[in-house]
Amino acid sequence: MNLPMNPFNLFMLLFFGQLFGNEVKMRVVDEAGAPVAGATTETVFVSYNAEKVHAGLSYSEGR
Amino acid sequence: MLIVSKPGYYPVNLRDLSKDADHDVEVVLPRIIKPISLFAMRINIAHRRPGEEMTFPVHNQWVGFDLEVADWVAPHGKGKTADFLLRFRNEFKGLEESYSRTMDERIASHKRLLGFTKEEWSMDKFKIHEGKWDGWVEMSFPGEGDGIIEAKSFIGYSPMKLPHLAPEDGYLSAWKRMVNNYDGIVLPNDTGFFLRTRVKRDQQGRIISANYAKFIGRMNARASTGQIEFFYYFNPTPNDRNLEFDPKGNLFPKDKPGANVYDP
Repeated sequence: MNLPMNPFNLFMLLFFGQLFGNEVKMRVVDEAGAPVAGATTETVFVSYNAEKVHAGLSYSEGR
Repeated sequence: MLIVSKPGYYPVNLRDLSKDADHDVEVVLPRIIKPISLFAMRINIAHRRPGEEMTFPVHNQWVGFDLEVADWVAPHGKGKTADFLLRFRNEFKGLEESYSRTMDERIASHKRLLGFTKEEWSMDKFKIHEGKWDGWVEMSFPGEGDGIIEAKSFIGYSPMKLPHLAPEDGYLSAWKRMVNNYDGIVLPNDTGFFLRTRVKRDQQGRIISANYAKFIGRMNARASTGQIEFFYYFNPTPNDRNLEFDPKGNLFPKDKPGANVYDP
């Protein structure tokens, strides 16, 4: 994963790595394609016996 | 399931991300711009009881539909203004094959089924119940400049699936689709349409007034019966292309079948 290690990217690495064991890169834009900063992301992972919720924020480029 | 939200935007909900693969996704978060009251209606899609279904009143003839009334125009319904015209025809292609039951057993089974609602059995009803059918739905428009256009984008994971505004131009004067009840092919419904209706023109032919509507998904019809299904929003204000719906402002009465619409 070739991302500079700012706190958010570090979070992405830890968060998704732990949750899925795979990498998820995400860019948030509005309907016109403009980046959306400060969007809240939540991953709700529902299994047969537990529900885990992980959350984060997108940065100024929408990432 | 990935939920992305921000105040001032419609939250989105991505359900299809596999946990067994890497992902590089662009998530579109539509803005909340100007939700307004509209006529919003699901024709036959949900929460309709038997007897409330909408079916083509005649086959092989053009029939007008009034979006503001959610009904066929008179004499087939309570509608007054035809926003568009629809024509349906179908063709019986034979009975479904059955390798486990004889024809007599199938008829007896169908008679028992109709017995629950105290209906008389007939061969026509049996053909509808057990038959293979092709059907064709055509749409045309009563006025020059009226028309339909497929949306350029559709955000399936968002409650706000289509662009906020109907396009200014590009409308086509006809649309059609073929349906059947036997090949098992289900077209993905990840599309939408905009309509321009009730067009008025000045003496030079320029459009001076029009109303706009949007369809979520495709118009569908049951090939065997002509029961029609579609989901639309209609803006009654002339020349207002805004189709961003305020779910608290459905202009249809709340208790009207199909008026339970919660997405913008």
